[in-house]
This record gives sequence, C-alpha cells and structure tokens, in this order.
Amino acid sequence: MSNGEAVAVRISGSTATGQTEDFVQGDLVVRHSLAVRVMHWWVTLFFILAFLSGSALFSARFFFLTNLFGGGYATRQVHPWFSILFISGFIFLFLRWVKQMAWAASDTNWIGNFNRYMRYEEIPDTGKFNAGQKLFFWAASLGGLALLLTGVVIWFPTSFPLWLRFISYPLHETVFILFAIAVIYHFYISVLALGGTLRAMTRGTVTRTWAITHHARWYEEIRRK
Amino acid sequence: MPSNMEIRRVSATLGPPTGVREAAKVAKLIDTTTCIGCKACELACQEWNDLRSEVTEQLGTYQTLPDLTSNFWNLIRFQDHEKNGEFVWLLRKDQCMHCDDPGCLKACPAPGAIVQYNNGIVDFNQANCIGCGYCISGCPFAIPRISKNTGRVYKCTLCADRVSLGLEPACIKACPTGCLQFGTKGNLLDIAEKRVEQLKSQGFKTAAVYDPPGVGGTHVITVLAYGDRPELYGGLPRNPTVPLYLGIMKTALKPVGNFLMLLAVVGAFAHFMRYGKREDKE
Repeated sequence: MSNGEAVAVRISGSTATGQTEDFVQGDLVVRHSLAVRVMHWWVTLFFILAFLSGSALFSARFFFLTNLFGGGYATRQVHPWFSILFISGFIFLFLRWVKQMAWAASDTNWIGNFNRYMRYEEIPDTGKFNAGQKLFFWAASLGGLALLLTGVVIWFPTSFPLWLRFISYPLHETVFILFAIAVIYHFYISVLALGGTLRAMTRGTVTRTWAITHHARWYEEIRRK
Repeated sequence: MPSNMEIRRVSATLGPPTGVREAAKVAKLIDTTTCIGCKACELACQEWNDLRSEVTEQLGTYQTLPDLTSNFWNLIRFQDHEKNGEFVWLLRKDQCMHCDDPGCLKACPAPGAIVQYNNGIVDFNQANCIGCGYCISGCPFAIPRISKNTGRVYKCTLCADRVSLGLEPACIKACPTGCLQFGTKGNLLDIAEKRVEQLKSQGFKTAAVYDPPGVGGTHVITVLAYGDRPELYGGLPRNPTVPLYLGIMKTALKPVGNFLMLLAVVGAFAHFMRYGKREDKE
C-alpha cells in the first residue's frame, strides 16, 4: 500500500478498492471496520442493560438493580426492549461473520491446545477468528435465539399455552446463566488478559506483532493480497 | 393490604418472614350442593371491594361474565350437566383458592408483592407488583388477572381487610342459603365432612371435600357432589400442584446460577493473578 493510500484510508476508513478491514496499514493491521466496531459496542451496551435488568428479575439478591431502571415495574417494561435492541445489532454481526465462523480442522487442533493457550505457552495457527471466538460466536447466536424465543413467551405470558411457559421460564434462566459465564470469559480474555486486543474494537487496528502472534494465518493472507 | 396481620411467607425476599405469632388457620367453605346461583356473593364482592366490572356479553348462560377479570374476583360458574336424562346445573364459586403452598408466591420475583399471612390468606400488594405475570403461570387454578389500566395483577383477597378486623368476608355475609361459611379450617373441614356423609346417604356416592394436597391444601375448601370429577365444575383441576419448574428454578437454577457466575469471575481473577496480562513484544 502506498503512503498516499494509507492517508486516504485514515480519512475514509476504507481502501481505494473499498476494503474496510483486513488490510495492512503501515505498522498496523485493520482488523474491524468502523461499522463492525459500532455495532459491537451497540450489542455490548444493550447486553449490559439487558443483563442488569434481567439479573434484577432473576434473583432476589439482585433485585436492587431495578433502582437503575426506575423501579421494578419499569425494569420489567424495559428489559424486553433492551433485548430487542441487542438482537437487532447481533443480527448485523451474525450476517457479517457467519461465513468466517465455519469450523475448520485447525480449530479442533486449537481446542486441543486450549490449556497451553491459557498458560500463554503457545498460540496455534488460526485464521481471522480462532476456535474460542468461533465457539463464543455460535454459543451467543444459539443462546441469543433461545433467549429471544423463550423471552417472547415470558413477555406475553397469557398469549401462550401453559406448557410452553413451563419450559420457557427455566430455559430462559439456564441460557442466561451460560450466556453470562461466556461473556465474563469473553470480556476477561479480550480486555484484561490478552494485551493489545481491546484496540481491535476501539481503534479497529492491531499491531503487526499482535496479528502475527494471535492470528498468523490471517496476517499471512492479508499481507499477500 | 392490612398491616395488622402477620406474615408467614413473602415473595422474593431474603431471610425469614416477619410473623412471630401463631394464628388460627382460616378457611372459606363453599358447598356447591346448596348454592342456588343467586350471585349475591358476586355483588357483595364488587360492593365491598368497590370494583366496577366490564360490560358482559350474552353467551346463552346465566353466568355473569365469561371469566374472572382484574376487577371481578368472584364468579359463579354455571355448568350444564345431565343426570339420568335430566338437566341440572353444577354451580361453583370460582375465585382464588388461597393455597397453603401458593405457586403464585413462589413464582413472584418482586419482593413483597405477594404475601401469605399467618392465618393462611394469600394477598397481593399491588404497590410492589412489577406486572411480570409470573404468578399467572405459577397459579394452578389460573386465577390472577393483569389489569389493563394499572398493569398489575389482582385477585380475591379473602377480604383480608375485613378478616383482620374480625369480620367475615363480604361474600359470606351475603350468602342467603348458608352454602358459604367462614371459620377456622379445622372446624370447616368437620362441617364439610358431615355434609359429604349426608350427600353420600342421599345417593351421591362420590361426594367429596375438595382440599387438594398438591398445593398443601387450600384455604377455600369446596364440597362437590361429584367429587371424583372436579373438572365437571367449570374445569376445576383434578390434581392441582405447584408447577415443577418453580421448584427447579428456586432450589437449583437460581443458587447454582449465582454460584457459577461468581465462580467465573473468581476464575478469571485467579487466572489474572497467576498469569497476568500477556504482552506481545515487538
């Protein structure tokens, strides 16, 4: 990439060929486009709001959180809407990433080395998304769908038969628990544990070293282009 | 919600409930065999509780409304029945049964929105209600109704306000045949059993007292001529139980879920303390 083109990228956020991510820009590598980052923060915001308002209704221990939303009645009113806004952003990310999230043989290898990965001993060769990210993507997609379907039943209880409600309440809570644990891990690994990762979602760029270390095959692919 | 009655159970609240004094368990007895369908109890309920019902629709029956509503808590159900080729009515007073083990209270996520007093009455406190409708699903008798105006649930209070002052519920006061009685549950069970014996001697071999054990018994007990078929009486459930999912959620999901989420945070913290932040040197 020429210097002039790099300047153009900085201003418009895309290359001359219309690429918005997955290209080298000087010392940096553009990992996520502006649109992806905005939508990821969108789902982050509404996940947190849905999580807090949902926690308040999940357990008496967390009912105090209803104060954040103007009381119990208001919390029950806004919780489904937070979720709808979360889902709307999630659909964008899902469509954007679904092809890249297909499982490959190397992903099984990555999972086999998970212990070594967490001990910072080795990072197996991966494309743009590693197996952990793919698992989180699919868990969030299926979990989001399950929360949406059971959530609609809980939202309008008198519109659905009793047996469906009997399934929906415990399923909604089970998926909520698993989703929460997955997000705790997602947040920890990307913000606190692996240095240089968070900027992929703030500036959209990562360093070359980070790209080579964490996603070697992805870096090779975009470098050759 | 009367403040002078002590509380035995309270929804979504940590720690023990506040009632320290024993109270006699009260009950209402409904003898469906001596009910004449006069609906005086319906009117008394509306008057005492100052409720104004919606306009009804004619469904070819004497029943006042097709169903209970958020401001109609006491409905005499008129069920057609054929006995030896003759038409008879099976009349039942449909209302909150005041379960001793209330599914609504167990399902409620709002602290203090549903209480059970020491005398067994189950009461809603609309000031604390969040309008989620969980109680509607948790109730084995499908009683609570959400008000379109307030978004909160309502049902029969067993006239807790009157009972707290030593008065009997309004419907009891109005009943002209004595088919409604109010007193301690023990006394009323004796009266009900005597009535059942009488009915049996009159040829109603399956007459029984409806006091279903699946909900810990109820504080509204009913004498049925056809005790083996409660569903004849406008769909009274044969074996009502506190829904299984409530037990799973209360005793397993919530504590286990809270523990697992805490464990995830502790796990992340432990990992951070052991391995720290990974920095990739240039």
